[in-house]
Amino acid sequence: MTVGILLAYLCFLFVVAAVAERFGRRRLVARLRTLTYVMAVSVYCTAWTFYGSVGLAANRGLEFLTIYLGPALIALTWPTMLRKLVRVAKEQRITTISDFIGSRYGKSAALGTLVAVLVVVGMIPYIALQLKAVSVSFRMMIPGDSLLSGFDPTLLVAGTLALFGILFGARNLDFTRQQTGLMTAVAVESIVKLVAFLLVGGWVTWGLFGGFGDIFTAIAASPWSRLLTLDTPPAASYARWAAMLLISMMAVILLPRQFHVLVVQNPRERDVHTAAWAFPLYLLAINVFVLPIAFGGLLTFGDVASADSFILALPLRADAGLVAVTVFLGGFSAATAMIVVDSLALSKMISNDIVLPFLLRRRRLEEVYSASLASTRLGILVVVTLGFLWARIEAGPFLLVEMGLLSFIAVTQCAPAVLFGLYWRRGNRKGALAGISAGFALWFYTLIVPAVVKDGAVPISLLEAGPLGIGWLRPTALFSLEGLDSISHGVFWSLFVNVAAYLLVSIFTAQDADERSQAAAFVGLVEKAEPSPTPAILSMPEIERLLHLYVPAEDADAILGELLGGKTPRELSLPDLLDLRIRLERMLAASLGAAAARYIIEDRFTISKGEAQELVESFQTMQRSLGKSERLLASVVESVEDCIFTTDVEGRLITLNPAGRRLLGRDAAAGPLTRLDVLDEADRRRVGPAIKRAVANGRPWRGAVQGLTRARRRFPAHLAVSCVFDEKGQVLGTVGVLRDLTEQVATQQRLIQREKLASLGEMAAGVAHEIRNPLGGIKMATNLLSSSAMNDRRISQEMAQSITSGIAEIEAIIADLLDYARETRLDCQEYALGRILAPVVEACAADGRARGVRVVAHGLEDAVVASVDGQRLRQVFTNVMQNALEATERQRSGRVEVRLHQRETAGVVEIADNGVGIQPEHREKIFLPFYTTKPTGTGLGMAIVKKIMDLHGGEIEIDSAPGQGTTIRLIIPRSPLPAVAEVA
Amino acid sequence: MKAKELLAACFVLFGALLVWPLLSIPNRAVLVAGVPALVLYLFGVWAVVVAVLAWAARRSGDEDGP
Repeated sequence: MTVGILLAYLCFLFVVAAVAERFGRRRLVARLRTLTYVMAVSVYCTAWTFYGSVGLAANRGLEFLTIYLGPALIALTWPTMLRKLVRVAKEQRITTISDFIGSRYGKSAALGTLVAVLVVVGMIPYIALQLKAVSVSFRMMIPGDSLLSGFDPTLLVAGTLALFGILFGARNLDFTRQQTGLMTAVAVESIVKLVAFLLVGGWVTWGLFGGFGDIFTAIAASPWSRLLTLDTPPAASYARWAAMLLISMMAVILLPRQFHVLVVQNPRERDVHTAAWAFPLYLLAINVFVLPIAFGGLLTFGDVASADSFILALPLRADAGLVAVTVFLGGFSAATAMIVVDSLALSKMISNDIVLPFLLRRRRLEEVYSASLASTRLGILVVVTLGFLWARIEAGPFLLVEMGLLSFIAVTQCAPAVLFGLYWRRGNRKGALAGISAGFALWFYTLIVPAVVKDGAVPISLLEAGPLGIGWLRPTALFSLEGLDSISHGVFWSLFVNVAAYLLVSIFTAQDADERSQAAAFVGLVEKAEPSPTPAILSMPEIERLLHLYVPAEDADAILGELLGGKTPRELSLPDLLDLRIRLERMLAASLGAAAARYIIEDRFTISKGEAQELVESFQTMQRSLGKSERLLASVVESVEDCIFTTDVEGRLITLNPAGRRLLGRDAAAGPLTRLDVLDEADRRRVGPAIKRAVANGRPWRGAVQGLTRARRRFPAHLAVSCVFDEKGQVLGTVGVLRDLTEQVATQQRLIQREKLASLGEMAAGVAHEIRNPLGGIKMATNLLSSSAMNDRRISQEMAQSITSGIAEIEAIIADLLDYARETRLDCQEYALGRILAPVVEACAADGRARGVRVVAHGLEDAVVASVDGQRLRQVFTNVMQNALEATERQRSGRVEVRLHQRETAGVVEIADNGVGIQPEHREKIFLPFYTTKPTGTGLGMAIVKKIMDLHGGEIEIDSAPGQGTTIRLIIPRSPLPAVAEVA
Repeated sequence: MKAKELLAACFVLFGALLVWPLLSIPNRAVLVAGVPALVLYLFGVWAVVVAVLAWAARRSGDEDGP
């Protein structure tokens, strides 16, 4: 019956895997994939967990827990460390732990081979252990007198599992692809073993005994009560406890099967987070009943001799057949899952890191792909066979646990190279070689040698007196380090020497270019990896030829399609080809390993001579034309007279052209400067925020500013700042042009000065002219007075009157002049302009009637309101109206029209006449004081109009042509204050 | 990010709880509610580790999106 169950279970595995493989790719939704991953990670629990934990607990108490507490503890670093490991492995298409180390240290074939050999050697006993467990448990299940008592199922099981691995694991050379069938089968096995363990645990605890309390109390009162606490040295110690924690922490990631399931077959990076809590929880669950079963066995059998099989012996003794079968299936599933995955991972190492380098050295390149597939499949058989043989030979009383621990310590020797390699860029190949070799040597000397001695193969004197009688070389007390048990002693020495050699050699030796680029790719994934130092570019025909040479035709086409990603070969640019080469190498690495892939690509397929020449020439032409336009641009910036600077986004000055350095007396490189440092303090406050806003929105800014030199000299300037964008439209920085306006401003001021002087001269001439007339009259009168006519009273009186009126005229001129020259302040109030205008129009209309001129007004009642000085404005209106009347009085049907209306925010008073008009040459001068074309009047009228309008911030528009009349528009802003111009 | 830093800190903290000298505190022959003190202690720490990791996974799930 047992054989039937065993065969049925194996068939069940095949069916599960086949169904998953067939439908999984389509149906396996993301959540289910995560579940599969998490359960498959529990391949960590092997037959060792099933039988060995109980045995260890019965022998040494709680020590077995370290094997599961360590993984739970290291799971706290998984979201960071394991996630990084997974990302690197996916990016580099890593398939095994030896591949990882070889690839990290410059795709080194030698290092990969070393690690592969050592790991395979370390793992074979572990596989043997699983087969042995199957064999032992099978024997217990069948009655002694059965026909089958001589039958050992180990060979059958080993053969079937090898077949399983070949069918579902090694069907494809690319191990980075999802092996859905295999992973599902392993996940199902994890569920089987957990359920089995919980069932039997519950049965023992509550079926055979009265619960936890019952068992623990009974043990506490028995001779085995010491098992409830940690033992004291030399049998056990805190050091041994810590050493076992440490090695299980490393092993849970680095064991070949763990690395394969946890890293290589990881479906999505973030599933690591789920595994990080679910896996420790699984371990916790599977360990709850270990102590009750172990103590139950001790209490029942009263002997530790068969402790490893307590879990099966208890139900068999109680004749609970169903429970026994459950245990057997659980243990069997734990063993098979481990054997399948481990043999698969080891075969990949054998193929890629041992067989392929050998083939490559022999230069039998055409066989690489087929040889790789064959050696992977054969490798599975070889590993399983070696395990089987070892299980046959190694029949000693060695505890399962001790064998497992030695394997753990072996893979832990890879930990420094992996962990430092992930975080420390300087770690190099020589360091890794030295560390791993030294670690394994000490592992062998301090752990394997004593084990072999205990087996009786080597005389015991080696342990007691040391080799050749040298005491301090004793394998269990190296350099006379005593007081430790063999495990902690071996862990300490091997890891200490390993880490020391790795660090020291890495520090004192240099990396080559390949190592540097790989180190950058592994350590600094955040920033883009350094480009490979020798980017040999493959042309498209070369890539096709290479693929068809090494890979079966259908695979080659699929890979080519994936590489091209929808483009046709003609569309590929030079960078595309470079990228293609890198991806091709990685794709080959997924199947053949990093070292072989690098070797194939570099050795055979470099670019042809003609193509190389072509490439070099086109590249040079490109560079020349680029260089030319760059130089041109540079010389423009260098020679221009304006200050040109560039800044980063924060406004810190990066470059400053020579004109800028001269102008500011500064150097961009001289110290940390910002663009605001070139401005006057007041301007920094005034325009700084506006510039910042503009730059933040990617808009340009320009405006008038006060520049500031290093010598704190201020100068007027115009600043224009515009943003520089990258191809995505992000602001990279700004370019600014600061134009020194000192010269322009000075010229402008000289012009104004000159104009002022000129107008002063004309004014003086006008004043002189105006005063000369009455003076002439006065002079004549005084002459007459002083002459003989003096006695004629009537004449003298007339003369005196003439003098008085002359003086009065002069006084009026002076009063006007003073009025014009006096500083005027406005007394502004809100007025409806119509109310000021109406009386003026009324007065002028009366005047006009006398002169035969018709005055018409429109829109005076409109509510056009402005803040003005009413009295002054009345004077303005009067003066303009007066001029209009004078211009029209000698015309036929003279007519003056007054309109008031609104234009935007200003009021407009339009006074139009059909009079003589203004000659073009007079147009510019009518606002000058004492400038007049009329026989009467001082010529100050329009000058006063101009002055008052200026004070109001208003404008005067004149439309006029000689003989056509004149239209004067007075534009009066709503508020007399000049609007503050927003600079932005 | 904060969760990752907390996890790193927890690694150190729980690591210290699981080795000498702190481990020597529960390492005594006493039964608490019928269960040895050391067993209770170790499984207790273990359960807290699982809880912390489950909390962190939920948080990171929020960050990563669906």
